[in-house]
Amino acid sequence: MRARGRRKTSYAADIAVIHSGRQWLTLAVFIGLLVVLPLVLNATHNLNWVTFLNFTLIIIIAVLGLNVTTGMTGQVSLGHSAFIMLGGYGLAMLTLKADWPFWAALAVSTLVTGLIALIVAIPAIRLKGFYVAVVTLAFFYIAQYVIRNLDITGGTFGLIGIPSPSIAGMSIKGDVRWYYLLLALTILCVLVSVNITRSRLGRSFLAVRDNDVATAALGVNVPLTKLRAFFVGSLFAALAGGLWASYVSVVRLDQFTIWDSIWYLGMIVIGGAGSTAGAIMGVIFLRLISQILHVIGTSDLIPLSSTVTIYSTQIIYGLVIILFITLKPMGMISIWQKFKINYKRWPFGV
Amino acid sequence: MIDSNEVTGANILKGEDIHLSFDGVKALDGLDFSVKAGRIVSVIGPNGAGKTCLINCITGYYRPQQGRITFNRQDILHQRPHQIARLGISRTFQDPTTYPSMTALDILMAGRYIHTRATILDAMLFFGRSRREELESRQIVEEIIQFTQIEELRKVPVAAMSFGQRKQVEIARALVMQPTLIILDEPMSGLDEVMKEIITDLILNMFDRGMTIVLIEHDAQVVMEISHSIIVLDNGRRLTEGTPREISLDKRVAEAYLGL
Repeated sequence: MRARGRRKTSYAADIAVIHSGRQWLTLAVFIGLLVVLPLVLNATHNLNWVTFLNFTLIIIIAVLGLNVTTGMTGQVSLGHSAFIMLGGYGLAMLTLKADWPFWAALAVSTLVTGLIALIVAIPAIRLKGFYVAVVTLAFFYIAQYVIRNLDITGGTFGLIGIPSPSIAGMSIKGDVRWYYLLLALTILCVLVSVNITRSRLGRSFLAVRDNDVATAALGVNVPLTKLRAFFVGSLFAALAGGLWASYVSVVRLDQFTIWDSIWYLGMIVIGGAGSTAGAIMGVIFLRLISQILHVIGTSDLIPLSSTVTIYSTQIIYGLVIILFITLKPMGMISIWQKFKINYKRWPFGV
Repeated sequence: MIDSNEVTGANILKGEDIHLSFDGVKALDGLDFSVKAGRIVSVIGPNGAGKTCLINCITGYYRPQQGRITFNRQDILHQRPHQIARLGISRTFQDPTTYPSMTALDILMAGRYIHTRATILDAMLFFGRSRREELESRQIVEEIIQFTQIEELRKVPVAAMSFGQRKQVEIARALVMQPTLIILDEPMSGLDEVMKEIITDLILNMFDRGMTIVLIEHDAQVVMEISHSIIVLDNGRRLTEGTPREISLDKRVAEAYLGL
């Protein structure tokens, strides 16, 4: 009897993302389900769940970026919300004040945010650990201060009436159309993230995270690599920010808080730092829990006063996270990896 | 014992009058040394003699206050570690747990960094150059995996390896960089006799392939067996230098070790 799992016969097969016909099929079925999902929700008058899905997709794109900077490269960034904010404001200003077409505005605001991230990272890369966190935290408040005090950003009122994109003459309006656009972009971003992990760039990130001193002996320019990590990570963030701004058609300062930055870090930790699949799982898990608790808390399923239920759902939320981190410190991805190894070895010992 | 008269080459690495001190404590005190191309040169000396300091000076981790270090006649004293690695000097670290979360394959592929060119955009698209380089690197990495006999460790993270396996992976990591000069910092320390023999064979094979090897090692037997020449350090200075036979007969060496 031979253990299960597939033998790979070439190096090209070993680095492929999808290894077998059955995996292609599983992926096709999965994407098929995602495509049908809003139609089902629509038919059952659960449209607020489509809104939930859309925000989840936007946050997945953003967190994939944080997974590059913090998950892969180990540079703890508390400024991720600020990069999302800059992407959003960039898109808003270019479309509203300069009348740029949506896609050009999205591309330019994303790239400019990437360049700003490089400037932020310059003081951060010479430092380690908590100091990087403090520099990015300071950057968050500086960005917030600047936006609050400029006219062009609308100050505390923000900017409203941000246009929606259109593809081949079709305007992306309404939750369901937005869902399909966001789904397509999220799949692209996931592919980019996976590509980074299986390339020279991704391995230099991992090496810097594990041991930046020894990594210099590999011929890797460590400060430059940290800069790259901030640059790439902020591109995802800015893209997500631009989409967010256009989806809700407004940008305001209270959309992008420091708490969000912290929650994004939590999502990476819970999913499994450095792994693309882990980052996605972390986002979905935390968002699902908070959404379910929110639904329960605001329904009359529990015969208690609403303040009690709202506070108790927050306590449950916190407890679930603490339990998860204590029991599965390597994140959700470790559960999957363990399952995969056991499956491949079956029926031989575990 | 290898007869040192068989191999004669030009100096590939040369250091002159190197002074290194930390807050007034002298680590290297006017050290001179030279390494001839294609040889196995060992550096020995009691603890605190300055052996690892010397490696750190050569590989750019420490910057001596005074002196000169040349590699292939090129001044490397003012270069940074990653630049020196690109010139063809690779080193191992005494503590082999450098990348705990990475698998042997990840680490060895990362070791191909200086031989690949893919940009950020190439990496994101994984198309054309990025993909081609990955496949080329993998070919070389697989050769080194066979050469160092770590086939079964390919997809094992370092944290799950034994100490000896980590040492093997660390040497393999230095080898995939295809250096002209390799510096091994105590590759035998903490290993059992079997592992020592595997690593010794590996070093001799590296020598057969024309590599220049600088070996820092405490295991006197290994050093005497495989070195062409031995540099003895004491208190940051070169006490003496010679063939294994000359060193084993030198009274000063015994004194330095026994602290007489």
